[in-house]
Amino acid sequence: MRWAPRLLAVGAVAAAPWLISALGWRPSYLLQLAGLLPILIVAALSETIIAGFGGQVSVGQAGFMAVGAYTTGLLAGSAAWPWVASIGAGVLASIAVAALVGVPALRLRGPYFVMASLAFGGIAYVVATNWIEVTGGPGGLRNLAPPAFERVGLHPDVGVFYMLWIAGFGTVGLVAWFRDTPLGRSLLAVREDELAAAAVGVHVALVKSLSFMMSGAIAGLAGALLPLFVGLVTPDAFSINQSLLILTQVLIGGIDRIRGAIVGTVLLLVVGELLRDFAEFQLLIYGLVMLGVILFFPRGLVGELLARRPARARMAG
Amino acid sequence: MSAVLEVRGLVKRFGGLVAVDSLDLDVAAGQITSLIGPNGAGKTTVFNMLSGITRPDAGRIRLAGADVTGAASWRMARAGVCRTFQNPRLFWNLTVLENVAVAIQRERSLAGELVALLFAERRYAEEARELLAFVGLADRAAELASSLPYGHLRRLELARALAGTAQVVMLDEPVAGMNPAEVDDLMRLLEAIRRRGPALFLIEHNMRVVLDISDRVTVLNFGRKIAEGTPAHVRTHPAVVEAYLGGAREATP
Repeated sequence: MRWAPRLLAVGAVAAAPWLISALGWRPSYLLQLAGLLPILIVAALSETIIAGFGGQVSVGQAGFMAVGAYTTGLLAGSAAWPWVASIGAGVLASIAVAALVGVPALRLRGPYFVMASLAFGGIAYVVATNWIEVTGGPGGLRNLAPPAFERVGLHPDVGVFYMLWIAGFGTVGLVAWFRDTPLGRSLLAVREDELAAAAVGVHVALVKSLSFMMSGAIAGLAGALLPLFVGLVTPDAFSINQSLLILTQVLIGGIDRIRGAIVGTVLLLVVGELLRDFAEFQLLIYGLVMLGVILFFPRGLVGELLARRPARARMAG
Repeated sequence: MSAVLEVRGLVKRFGGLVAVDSLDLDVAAGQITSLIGPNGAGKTTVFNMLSGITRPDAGRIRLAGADVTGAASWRMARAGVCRTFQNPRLFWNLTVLENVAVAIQRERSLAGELVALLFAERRYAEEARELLAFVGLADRAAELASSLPYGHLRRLELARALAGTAQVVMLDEPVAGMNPAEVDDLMRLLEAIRRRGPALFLIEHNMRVVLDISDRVTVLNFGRKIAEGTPAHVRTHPAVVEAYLGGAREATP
């Protein structure tokens, strides 16, 4: 993936609002879907870091999304902060929570880490539902006005759409950069062989903590973008289902690749919309899709495709 | 001759078994020291203690005069005690260059480390490239470690062990499983490493290698040092002959 496809992606996103309105088929619905996509991709990339690069599967990413979403919602709503500052604060709050949770959780491995992450996600959900004075309880935070895009001659929906995609592209770039920093590479080394990594001088605990904070920051960003997107924050967006959905996205596409997260997210979004009329069977079908992928494409769809081509170096330069 | 690594009274017990029993040992800079002994003599346990993987139950380990007894593995590596493993433990899904770059971590302060972890990519890559050229793997930098032939795995592990500020490079059976030509190549590489500066400390069963390149040999049996000295001295030492070939009585049919 060199420059041409990247420019194509940016161009497609820039032109999307016009294309959608020119198409004339349910424009607001399509724009909604196209705006949801970057949020879901950002959420999936948080799992790519912790599970794909770090080898520690988390089923609690929605917990970090909740931290980001409520922080941003409270600041942009009742505190009337500007949106960008509110989103930034949401990300910082997620980093802080990741640092707190990470210290004990990262001592655990394999299934024990999975269970700890599950517990964290569950606690976040319960707090969001029951701490009514702050979170508004099941009703959540409502009536959050979008930024005043009218002043620059943009429809608010279109302005928000662009903001979401800027965050989405920025996160893709951030994760790609992270992968090739000494930190990202050390994380991969720890995943491959923790004992050998320590034996060559990798500070395993520090590398794991920093990476966990990076993953938490990105999940928090995905959460912080939600109130901007839908104008409200409700706890049901951060249930265990959301965490499982994030994991499914990266498993389908390929857990240790950025492209895997993107492809898996697009597939799941499209399939999910096609199955909207069969809502009660949705989870069943996701489950079957996941089973099929794990059985027949254990490296994910993207991983499997790449494995059939001659390997291309990542750090050749 | 100055000892860069000094071991005094080192003990490791596993339950009732004394795996290493009050071992004294010196590894000198610019020399090749070998640790030999029958299977189960405690050689790998000594390596594991020196590289911070297992904690000694008693005794002292001093590196260039500083006490490093019981330090964590990554601290040992940064202090300059680096190792290879009996079965190569590489980062199989990383490229050859990345395998070495990971090992170039020597920052002492947390702030320095944070900056290096995020922004020192280019410096690390350059150093890694230089090390790969030294071990003769420069042209395979971009391949995945898992795609290397067996003889190259040890070279890559050596490059990784030399990264950072290696003062002592410990090799656990470096020529195991190699054909004679590969053994000769590796011995030349070990000589080249010795000229580069660090002390070499190896466990080896191949006596040709041990007798050819070692400056000093220490012999362990049942966790105890039974002989020490030049290869010629150790080869004819009665306790060594007995440990390897059995006592005089068992030797006669």
